[in-house]
Amino acid sequence: MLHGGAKNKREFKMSLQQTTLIMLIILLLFFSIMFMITTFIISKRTEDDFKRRTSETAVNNVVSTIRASLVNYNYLSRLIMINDRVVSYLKAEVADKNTIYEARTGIYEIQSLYSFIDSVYIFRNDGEYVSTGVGRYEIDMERLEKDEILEARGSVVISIDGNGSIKKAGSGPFLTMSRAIYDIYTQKLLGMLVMNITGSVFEEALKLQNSSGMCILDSDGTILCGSEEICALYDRAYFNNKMVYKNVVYNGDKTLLTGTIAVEPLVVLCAAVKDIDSLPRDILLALMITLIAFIISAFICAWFITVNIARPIGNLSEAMIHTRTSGWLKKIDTKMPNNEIGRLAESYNSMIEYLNELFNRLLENEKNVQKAEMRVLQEQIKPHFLYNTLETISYMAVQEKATKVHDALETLGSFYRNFLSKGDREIPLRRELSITQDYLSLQRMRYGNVFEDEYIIDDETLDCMVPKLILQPLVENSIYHGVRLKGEKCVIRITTRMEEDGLHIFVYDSGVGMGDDMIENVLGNNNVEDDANVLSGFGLRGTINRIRYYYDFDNVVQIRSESGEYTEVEIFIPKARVKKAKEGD
Amino acid sequence: MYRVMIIDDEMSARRLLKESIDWQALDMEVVGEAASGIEAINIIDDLRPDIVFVDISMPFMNGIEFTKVATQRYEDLIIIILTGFDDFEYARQCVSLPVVEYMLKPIVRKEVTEVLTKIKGNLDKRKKSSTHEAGQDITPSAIQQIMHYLRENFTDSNINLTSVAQHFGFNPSYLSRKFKQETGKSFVEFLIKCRMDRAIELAGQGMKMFCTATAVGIPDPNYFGRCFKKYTGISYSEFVNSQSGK
Repeated sequence: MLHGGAKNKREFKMSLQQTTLIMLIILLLFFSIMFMITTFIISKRTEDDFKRRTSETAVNNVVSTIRASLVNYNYLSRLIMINDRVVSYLKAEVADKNTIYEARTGIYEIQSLYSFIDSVYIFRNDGEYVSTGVGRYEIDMERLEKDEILEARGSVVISIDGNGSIKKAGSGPFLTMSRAIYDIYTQKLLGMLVMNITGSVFEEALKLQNSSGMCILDSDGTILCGSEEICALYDRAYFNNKMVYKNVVYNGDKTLLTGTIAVEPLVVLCAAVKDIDSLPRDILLALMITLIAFIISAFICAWFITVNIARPIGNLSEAMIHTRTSGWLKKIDTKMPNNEIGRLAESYNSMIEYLNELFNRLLENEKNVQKAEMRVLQEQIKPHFLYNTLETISYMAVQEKATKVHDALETLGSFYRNFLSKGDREIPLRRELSITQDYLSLQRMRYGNVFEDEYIIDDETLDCMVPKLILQPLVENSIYHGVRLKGEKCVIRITTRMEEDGLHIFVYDSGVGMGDDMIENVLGNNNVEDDANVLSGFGLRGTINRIRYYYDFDNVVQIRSESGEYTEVEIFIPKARVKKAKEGD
Repeated sequence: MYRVMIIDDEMSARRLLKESIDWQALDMEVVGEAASGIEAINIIDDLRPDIVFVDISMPFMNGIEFTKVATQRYEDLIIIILTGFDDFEYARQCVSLPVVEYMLKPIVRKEVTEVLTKIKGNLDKRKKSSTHEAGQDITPSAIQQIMHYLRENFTDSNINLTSVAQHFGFNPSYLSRKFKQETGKSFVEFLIKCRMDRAIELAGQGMKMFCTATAVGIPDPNYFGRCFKKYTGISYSEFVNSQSGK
């Protein structure tokens, strides 16, 4: 019961509280990293999506503008085509100056409605033509793809610079609309119309779009208007009626390039806008607030766990350790919260209570068994028989005038009477002293005058109750392990003193003394007794342990010694444990 | 006449045994006694007993240790171990030899007489068949060797004439005779002289008697004290005092 605890003490590296904190920090770190990664991915996605949508809108806008414009120009070309003066010019056998002039004027009147029309050419079947262009033109009739135009059978064929057949000095590219002219009534081919529209007609529409660069070009990559760098990025994949998206390198940056066919063969390309705020600030703010709220709630959680779980459990385990190291099965009296932990402490306490009850019951049983055994022993010794026989022999000695024998028998009788002591566990010190005295005089008789015994007794101590046989084994030890080994005459002195703090009993002998290791061995707690000790009746340790168990504290017995000089055993019984003998005991 | 030796640390116990048994009737005589195993080892060669009574509980060398030493050196020696009731089984476990008998204390004359009668019968039979074998011849140089050996080893408390004779392969009684012839001193006297000279030296340094006793190979201070007084004429403490007075 005394020293059970220390051995199975478990070293733990971290307290519950520390574990919780570390767990929390790991959780926070993990969450923050996940938060950042998610935010990054979302913003990237949003940005891509935004760029895509912006580009798409830009392309669509331009495409609608082109289509709308072309409808108008188509309409205009029709007006020119059916103009009386133009038709007259085409139908005339020979185009004279007047007819040419009339035709040109006719065209002009219509052309002037739209400022972006640069020039209109009307070709007769014989190769003659009138034009309204102002400036120097180079016309390469060979390259004008007549077949294609004729095949269209009156529909408009769109190209850039008439596929390279028309050039005007000092001017950008034209959007060329060509169509065949038929007689309304006879459906006979009269000639051809070629209308050149300045490329910059769409410049404005391009600029209005939200992009980092756009251009309009034909399927071969010839630019009509817009950025030439964008034009350089064109490939055939964009010549598609559906919207085409590609990531390209533009101005050293990775950019989304979107494009589609506006009207064959025209293609619109658009590079996505740069540097946009993909995530609006308020959304970012909301996210930050969420993060902070999470951190705060995590800390509140940790605090909650610490206050409500970790700390009470810590207190409980502290209290249990305290109980364990104190060596007693004491209950925990630390205050515990009214929850499972409180219940745990309660259960522990009731277990302790049950254990104590068990111990007490065992102790009670043990006491009863001891008493019974003592009774049996006494029965075996038959003290009455022994005493009566001793008295008979004593009488015989007296008759024979053998005084020494009478004295010896008397001492032996007295020794046994006190030694057996009705089986009491506690006897007055007076009785213990007389046992010891008798024992010493019997021993002196056996071994001759190898020692002197001295007694310095405080009268006040005589009635104190002590466990039976605490002094006799000590003097026995003095004789066998101190005095007899010295070979010289020694002193055995018993001193008792009542002091402020309690009763002190000293057994002193001037024998060979004890070494420190011997003292340690005797006072040590290991109960191993080797054979040699059993044989030589080494009762010192047994006696010390008995006294210790009886009074239940370690310092009840102390040994002082100097090798070759003396040994002194001190028994100290604190005031509170000193009991006085009852009257008549 | 068979020779009997009694070893017991209690003088009264030795005397009681000696006085209460009718040795004459058993054709035996008590030739000596020793108060400890140490003393017995020292004097046993002079006494040459046939039967030894030894008490089991003695200081310095208990009855069992003595028995173990003695049965090795004296093959014919009959040993009767006297034990109390509480050590009886223990003693039986330690030594179990045909030459060893056990008797419970306190002694009862009738039991002792019975055991001795039985032993006498055995000894009588053995005597007829036993012959003395002579050991090899002992030269003066061998004696020198033995003296040297004694000077080196006298601190060994188990050493005696028989053990030295066995060590050198001589017959003990022949060695004893030769030793006296060569040196003018008996073996035992020489051993005591070695020990006492050292003891005087140590006493001069003021060493405690029981320490000196152990240091010179007589770990029983009572017996040592007697040897010292016999050798120097004064007791050890007187000697120490006279030395410190100078």
